[in-house]
Amino acid sequence: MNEDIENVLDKCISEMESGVPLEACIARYPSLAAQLEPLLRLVLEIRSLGQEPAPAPLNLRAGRQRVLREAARLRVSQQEKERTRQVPWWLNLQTLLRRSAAAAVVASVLLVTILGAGTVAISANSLPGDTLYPVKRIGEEVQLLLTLDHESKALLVERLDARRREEALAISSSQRVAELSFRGQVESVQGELWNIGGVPIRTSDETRVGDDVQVGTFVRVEVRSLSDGTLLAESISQEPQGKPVQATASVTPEETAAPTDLATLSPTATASPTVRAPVQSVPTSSPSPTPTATLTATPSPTPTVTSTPIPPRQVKVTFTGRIEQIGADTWIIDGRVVKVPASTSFDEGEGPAAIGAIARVVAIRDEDGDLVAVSIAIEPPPHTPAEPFEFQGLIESFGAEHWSVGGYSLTITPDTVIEGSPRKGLLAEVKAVRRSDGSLVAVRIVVKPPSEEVQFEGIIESLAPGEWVIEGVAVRLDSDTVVEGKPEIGGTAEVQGLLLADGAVLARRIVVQAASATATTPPTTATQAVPTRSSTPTMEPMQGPMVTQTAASSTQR
Amino acid sequence: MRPDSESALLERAREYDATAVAELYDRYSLRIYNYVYHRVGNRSLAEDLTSTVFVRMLEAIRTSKGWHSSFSGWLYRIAHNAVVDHFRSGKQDKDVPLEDVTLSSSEHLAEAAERSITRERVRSAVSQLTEAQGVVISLKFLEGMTNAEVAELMGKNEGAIKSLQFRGLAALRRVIDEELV
Repeated sequence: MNEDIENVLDKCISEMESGVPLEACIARYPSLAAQLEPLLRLVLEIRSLGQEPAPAPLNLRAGRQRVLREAARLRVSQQEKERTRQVPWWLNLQTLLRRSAAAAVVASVLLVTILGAGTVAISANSLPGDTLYPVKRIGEEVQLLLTLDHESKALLVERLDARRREEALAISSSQRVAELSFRGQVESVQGELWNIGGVPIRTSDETRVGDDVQVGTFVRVEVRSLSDGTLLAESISQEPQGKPVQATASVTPEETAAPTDLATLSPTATASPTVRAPVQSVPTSSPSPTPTATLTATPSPTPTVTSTPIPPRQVKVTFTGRIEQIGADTWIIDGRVVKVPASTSFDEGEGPAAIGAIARVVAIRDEDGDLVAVSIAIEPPPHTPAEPFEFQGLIESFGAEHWSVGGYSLTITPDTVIEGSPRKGLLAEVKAVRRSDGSLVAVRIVVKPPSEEVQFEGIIESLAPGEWVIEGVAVRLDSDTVVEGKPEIGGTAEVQGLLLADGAVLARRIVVQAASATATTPPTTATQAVPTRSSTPTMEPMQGPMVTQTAASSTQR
Repeated sequence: MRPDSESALLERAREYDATAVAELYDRYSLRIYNYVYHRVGNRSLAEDLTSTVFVRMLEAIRTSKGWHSSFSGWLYRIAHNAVVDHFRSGKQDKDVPLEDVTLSSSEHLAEAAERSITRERVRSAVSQLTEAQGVVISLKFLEGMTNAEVAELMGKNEGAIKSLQFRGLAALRRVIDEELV
């Protein structure tokens, strides 16, 4: 019954759509009229709602920004999850150190003891921002804590100072973005260019320079490394050379070591050398609190550990630059890490706050040294011509509007010239233009055809998803690749495929031979293509249809 | 080429790739806005709910398999639920904004008000239907789609759409009649 009325109702709806009056339709189905009529009248009512066109939306762009911000937040959160999954809990210092400074010191001692010299030694070459850098700094702190002799401690402090300066130079030469702190003597001052302990830095109008600082003064420098390698000084302040050891890191106040935590290591009142050594002063895209431990070394055999409260300071900073990264609550603008809390106001009148846009930022530098955005106003985009960009790469994916080649995402437009037949794994020459937002628009893509069909046999050396190495040859697998047998490293496989321009082979068929058969197959004839581990595989161009050519493989089938 | 392109786009959106998410938003936001507007009858609310739909899409795209058969159908279902949540929240403004009431030349103000109230009643009632019924009724009668188009969007056959249409209309009539009593 229902089926009937479902069809009749649908029929009447269609007829009414083409102009047949409701009554005429009902009249044709008298037995169903009582059921049909109210439903059809309802259809008319609902249709009248839809007939009124929706007014043009005014603010879908703001919604787009909201969605993109949410995507960025989820992306960061997902990456965090994956990172946490990858780092063993006992190496997850961010979790470990989220306790108190005292716990951190205890944890460090335990950590160093548990991990032994191995991990600490591995961390020796790490730089701010590296996963193992906190291990390095904790190792140093423990070393300082356990060095009781005054002279040895002074030497250690000197060595650590030199290490911080080397790190600054390394960060600068690798053009990494980070915030650093180191100490040294002012060796020269030439306008904005200073040399401190052999480290060239640049000052600006915003750099806070202590009153008594001059050439020869021993100073502490807080710098920010920019993506062009410049070390931009934020503050330069006089510091008594070889004074008490003080290790700091940007932290939340509640995590500052309480003076009572290590009260048993009771200090004397003797003046002692101070060295501020940040435990971790480099903000990452996922800032997490790290503890502050303030250590005071004294000439007495008993080390002093006290807390030194950092005076709160809030500096207003205004700058303009390109948005380089948008995270959940941390953005990178003009190479600076900027926290963007919910309270930040946005002015997107000139365009959306997206990666590549030029933003004018008003921020507060909080007592931890972090920039917290008060407002972000998007400036009109500069009229820069699109930059040409050419490269070669393997086709990772291709579609009507987007291709991915050699790790680059390309936008395809109706004007894009595509030569050759794209296929995943083939080499492509790309000519593109980079737009002001950083995206690449393909102008011309030339797909390099595979040079020839080949066949060879060899030992499987590695088995990564999508790419195996067989007898030293990279063998790529795609959805069309047929694999017969159970692959395992050390086993023998016969490959039939296409030789790509980069020397790899795009496999069409891989026949994995059983391990026992491989082991027992005697390499008896010169034509047999079962190489030894050290031999170079012989690639035989295919003649006609692919056929099995080796004695070993023919015995398998 | 298009379906492949969309599935690649969706795979990238699954990783929260900004370009892919932006592309999806650009492709579908206007359609979703129109759909939501017809359901709520208020421009700024429709704009707000449109972005909510896409935020919910992001939140669910890694775990839900709903989009595998038809992404747009899945998006419309999310939109339906966003509208339902809006009506359930009781936040809807009983006063229809003046800008959203269009008065035809021959229509009396009282008639326009009556028409507006009826529309609100119908809109609210559609939100009490099941997800599938609500989407079918909205796509067919508000968006003017054919059975074939709705079937493709929802990943169902036309018979199922006719059935949902009948049950949806019957339920809607019941809801409206109960409200009037």
